[in-house]
Amino acid sequence: MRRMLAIAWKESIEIMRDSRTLTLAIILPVIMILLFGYAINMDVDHIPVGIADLDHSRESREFQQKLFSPGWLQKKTEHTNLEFLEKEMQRGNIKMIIVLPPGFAVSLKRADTAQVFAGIDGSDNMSGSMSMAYFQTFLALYEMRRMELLYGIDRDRAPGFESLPRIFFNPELESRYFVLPGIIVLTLAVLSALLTSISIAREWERGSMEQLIATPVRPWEILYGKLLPYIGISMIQLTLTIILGVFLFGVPLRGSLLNLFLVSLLFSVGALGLGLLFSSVIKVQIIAMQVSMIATLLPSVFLSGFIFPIESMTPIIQAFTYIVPAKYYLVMVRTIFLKGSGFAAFWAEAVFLFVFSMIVLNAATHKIVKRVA
Amino acid sequence: MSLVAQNLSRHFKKAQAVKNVSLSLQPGEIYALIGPDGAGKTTTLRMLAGVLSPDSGIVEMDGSLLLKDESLRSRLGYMPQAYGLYADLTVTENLYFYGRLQGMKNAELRERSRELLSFVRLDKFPDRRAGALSGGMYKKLAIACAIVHRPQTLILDEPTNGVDPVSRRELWQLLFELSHHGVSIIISTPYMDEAERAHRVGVMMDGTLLAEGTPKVLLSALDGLLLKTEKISAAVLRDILLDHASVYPVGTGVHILSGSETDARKAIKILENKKVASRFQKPGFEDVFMYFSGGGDAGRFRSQP
Repeated sequence: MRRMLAIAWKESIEIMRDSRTLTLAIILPVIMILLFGYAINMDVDHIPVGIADLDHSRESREFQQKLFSPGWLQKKTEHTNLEFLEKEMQRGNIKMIIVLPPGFAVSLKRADTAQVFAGIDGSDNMSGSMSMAYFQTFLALYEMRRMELLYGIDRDRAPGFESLPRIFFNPELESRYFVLPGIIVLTLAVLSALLTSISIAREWERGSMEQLIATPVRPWEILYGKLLPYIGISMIQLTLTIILGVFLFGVPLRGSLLNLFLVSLLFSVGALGLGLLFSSVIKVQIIAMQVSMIATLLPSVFLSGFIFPIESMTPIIQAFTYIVPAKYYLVMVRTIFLKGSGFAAFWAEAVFLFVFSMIVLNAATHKIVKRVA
Repeated sequence: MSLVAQNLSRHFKKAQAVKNVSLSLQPGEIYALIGPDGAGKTTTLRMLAGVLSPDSGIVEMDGSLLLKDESLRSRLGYMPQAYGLYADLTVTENLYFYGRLQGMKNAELRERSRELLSFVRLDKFPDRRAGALSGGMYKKLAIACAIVHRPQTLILDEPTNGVDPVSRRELWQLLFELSHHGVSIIISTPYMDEAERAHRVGVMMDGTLLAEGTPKVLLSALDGLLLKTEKISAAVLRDILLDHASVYPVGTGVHILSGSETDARKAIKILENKKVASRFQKPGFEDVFMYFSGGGDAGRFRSQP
């Protein structure tokens, strides 16, 4: 135990005096959360639209006013020449073209079918499909309102369905609430493994490992001695990301802070252990860093459910996600942040992370062989 | 005996780095392992320090097998060739770290680090980062770290390599003092002149321990075998002497080393016939190495004592 603490003490001093490690440990998570927090916004809003009002009527102007007033779609340009609007779309200045043809007002008054042309930019899949969905919703509401005016139908008394929607946990469907827990997972997964991936490899590269091997220190003492200070760093990273998430981006933390720290501790031990495993196997800092970066970043982004829903993946890829620890941690972080649930809601995920951490640490201990060759 | 190695062998891929090396260390003895780069010195010392497993053979300390008993490592001090002190830690912190790894407590370490820093003449720089030390000071701190726990055996792999002559002399002074206190030391060095300072010397080449003995015994093996000549190149001499001697330049002259007294007499006769002046020369350890290695790279003969 004394030898393990000696390693932890030495490692802590090295971390505190090495500006590069400190930057990586403290500054990078802040940059990551600011960058991702502001950059990743899945709320499609203010989509630039080019409109061709070929009717020039009071009705068409009223239609436009109603269409653009909520702010989802934003009138960027108005022109009667469709070729001009198509060029604007090619340049990327607008994402949608709406054409109100001549006779639009007459059709509306006659209770005829009023045609409206809408074209979207398919090269930007997300904003394209979202803008079309907004537009069709708007048309449906507009149509209903027109029916009321034309036929005097009172919607409140008319037979039929009435939708009573209720959105749990994130009523405004704020994507920040959904994304920021994912960024916490990403930050902790990538930076934890990255920091420890150089730890043992550095000892080999500078020759101090040979010296350590010659002492009575045991492999587990080296491993856990190196793990301890980095757990502290991970918790500092977590604190920073929580503070920024809650106070800067306004993400509600509805669950227990203690639970959040406990599950994060479980996850970070596994992630740090993974870095130590790479470091003890590879023994070259730069390669160990690259391997841990790839091994943590890619699954955390693509296979955790952070950005792409796991349900929409192919069965093979879905099966693969079961061994991605970030997937389980993400479920727990989102549950704690947005649902406010306790351990009963995610005990299975916690058990997985515990087992994963034990396997990784065990493997890393066995890979620290007390021989130089 | 404080350390005994029997029939150590080790290979790396297809290369046999060490072949059947046996040696032992007496308490308080300084044993120098000399040989050129690639002779197998580092591999041998690594096996003695227990950081490399031999393919065959054993290393014992006080009758126990080193690789089977981890506790023996606390009786051993090891300074590898590429000694990696922690550059961001101060002189004192490095000492504390290695002391703690050996199970020493803080109170004991406070006293010991004061004593050691004075011993290695670093007492003026306790708070200087190891990365800011000069080459000689760095090596002294490395030795201090290796002996912080008062080992009975010290293994030093080329500690004087890349160190200026003044620091080299100081390092050797430290080794003499440790030896005086009963610490047995095995040291490898590519500098032949350093061998003369040891109590016993082992000559290694191609993974084999060719000879060992006190400096006096090893030097006396060359009595009557070494000639020196000047004002003639080694290449010309080799053509004149053919297989009768090994010829190599040393300083301003050329040494002519024969494998036997008969060969030496033949060499003198040949040189006289060619009107080349020569005289007998007192051998140094470079000559000892040339003799036991069969002439080294410049060798023409393969005589063994």
